[in-house]
Amino acid sequence: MFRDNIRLAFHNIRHRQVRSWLTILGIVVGVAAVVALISIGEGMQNSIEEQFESIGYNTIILSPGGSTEQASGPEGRMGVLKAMFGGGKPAVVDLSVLDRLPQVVSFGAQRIETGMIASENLDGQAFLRITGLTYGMTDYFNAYFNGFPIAQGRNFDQSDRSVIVLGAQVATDLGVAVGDQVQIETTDFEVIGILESTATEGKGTGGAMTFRGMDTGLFVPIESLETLYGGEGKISQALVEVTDQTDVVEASQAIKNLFSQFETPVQTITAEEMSEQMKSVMASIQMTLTAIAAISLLVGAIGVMNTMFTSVLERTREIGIMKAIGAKDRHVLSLFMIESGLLGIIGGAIGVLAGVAISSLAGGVLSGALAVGPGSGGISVSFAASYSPWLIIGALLASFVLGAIAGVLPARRGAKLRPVEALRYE
Amino acid sequence: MIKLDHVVRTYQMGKTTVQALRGVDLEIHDGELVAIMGPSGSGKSTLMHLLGGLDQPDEGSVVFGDQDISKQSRDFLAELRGKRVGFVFQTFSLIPTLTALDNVELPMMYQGVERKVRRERAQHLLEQVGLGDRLNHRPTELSGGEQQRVATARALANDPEVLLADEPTGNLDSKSGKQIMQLLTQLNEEKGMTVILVTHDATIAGYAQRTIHIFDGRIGDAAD
Ligand SMILES: Nc1ncnc2c1ncn2[C@@H]1O[C@H](COP(=O)(O)OP(=O)(O)OP(=O)(O)O)[C@@H](O)[C@H]1O
Ligand SMILES: [Mg+2]
Repeated sequence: MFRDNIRLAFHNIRHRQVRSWLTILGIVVGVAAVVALISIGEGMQNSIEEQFESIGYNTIILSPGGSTEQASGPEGRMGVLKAMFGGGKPAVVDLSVLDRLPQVVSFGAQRIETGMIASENLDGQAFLRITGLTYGMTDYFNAYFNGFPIAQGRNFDQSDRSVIVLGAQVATDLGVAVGDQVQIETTDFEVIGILESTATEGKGTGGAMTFRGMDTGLFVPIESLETLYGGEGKISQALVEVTDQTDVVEASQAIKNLFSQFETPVQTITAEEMSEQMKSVMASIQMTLTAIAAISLLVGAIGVMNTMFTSVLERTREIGIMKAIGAKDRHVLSLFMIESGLLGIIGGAIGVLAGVAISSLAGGVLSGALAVGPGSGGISVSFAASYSPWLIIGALLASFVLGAIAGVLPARRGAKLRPVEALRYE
Repeated sequence: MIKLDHVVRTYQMGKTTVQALRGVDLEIHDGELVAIMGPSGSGKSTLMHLLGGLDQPDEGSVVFGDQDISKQSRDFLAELRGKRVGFVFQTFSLIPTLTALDNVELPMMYQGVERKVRRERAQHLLEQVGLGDRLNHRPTELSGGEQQRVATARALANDPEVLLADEPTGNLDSKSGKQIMQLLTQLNEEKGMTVILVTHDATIAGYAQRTIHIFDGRIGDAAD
């Protein structure tokens, strides 16, 4: 009997094709949006995790200023954001005291300024972000700088001052090659190296949506920024590597305590805290978007309900006939509920396919990555989606259940009709 | 045997009350072929519905076989209609989207008859009513007479004790009407099926062993 009703339900859905497809479309849109957003979100989370796995968790990020609070709460969040985008307002911090801590293996700092840039082949001038680096920074914390791969020329020497290494994109924009001059404010800098383009790295097209910082980076020795802008010993951010055996959280606290005796206190964040915070920021963005998508799914379900009410009304006479020839209330009830459940699950199946297609397409278009983290380029959040079987099974199940629930009221109305009245209905 | 005892059926239409049946006493014996005649609005269809458990009286009792069905549950009545009664309505009583074969199968489906068995029986029944070559036609692809024959085949699907036909020939020409009547007479004679039919047509009533006249919700003189 149940199988027969499924067959009948299919028959009825097929018979009202246009309306059925339109109703199904409502579900498709909702499911596709939910599936796409969740799978992209999951992909992002995985990518953050993988990146930190490969970088290692024994790094502490230090920024001048701030309180001694842990990296939680609103202030902690701000600290993370500061850390993610290269540090705060430059301030004088004497990093040499770090040598007092036995856990510390190496450290380096960067200073970020915005400067007026000019070159021979550039019309007018440009305001760009300039990153000053202490010597060895890109070697010690290679992964944070995406490997800092030099395509042409060379990396900095210890004695280098007025020299500059350019990201691939910015080198093209300024129209310079190795050996050319770039003017920052009034000083000439010699281009000694150009980085490999990260866009050629496989993922995506490297088109307009590339967020990667390395391609647009201008890197100079930190001392040359002191000459340009003054403020000896000023840094925006420092990276500290501790030994593998160290408890990173304790070390982080020890660093904070150490600097609290000095003029400028520092804020610290461990790589793990940063990874957690990034994931939780991503997760809450994703949650919000998914909730919006879920609303559209709800609207789809209301569409199913509407269609089923119409269907019951239209088929009132048919219900009367079914009852006259022996159908019980529950036969009628289950027929209509199966019909609406089918609308739901068909919509769900198409929606899952569409969602997978959309998210893999989006992953491609958004190409690489949203670059964050110290060195603005190392930690890149990939948009490549990840599909768990649970997501797919869950989406199918949810759309069937949603469809069936949307059918409850209409089906009950149909089932409760009195046969004689139903038969008289025109 | 179906026995009606002081049956009253009133319809509430907003503020007005329509008394469709005003105290009907009636007995129909097993194996009878009975015609019900009366003017339009006299309560023939209402009576028919009560006889077959499609509706229930406001007062009085309806005894079907040896059971009072006037106070039974909806499921009980559905079962009664499915197993022991066959209805043929005046018009448009087929499910429009289903083929003739599917329509005839439907009552057997509700009784849980296996698919293969009911398919064969439906086919057999349609052949019996002369529609062996119209099995996969939909109602809209059939003439009025053919539709009525499909409806009759469907009414016979679960081999009912009682066949109730509400103006089965009302919309048909005399030739198709005669075919239907021959079929009903044959069922009554060969199988001993109780056949109750509503009609306006005296020739049709002529096939019956007994004619019941109904006027304004009351049984009039029975003319044999
Ligand atoms: N569901 C209903 N609601 C209100 N009034 C009804 C209903 N069904 C029937 N009636 C009224 O009850 C009376 C008897 O109706 P019924 O259908 O039994 O007549 P009938 O003898 O079958 O007529 P006809 O020959 O036209 O089919 C009529 O006055 C009709 O208007
Ligand atoms: Mg009538």
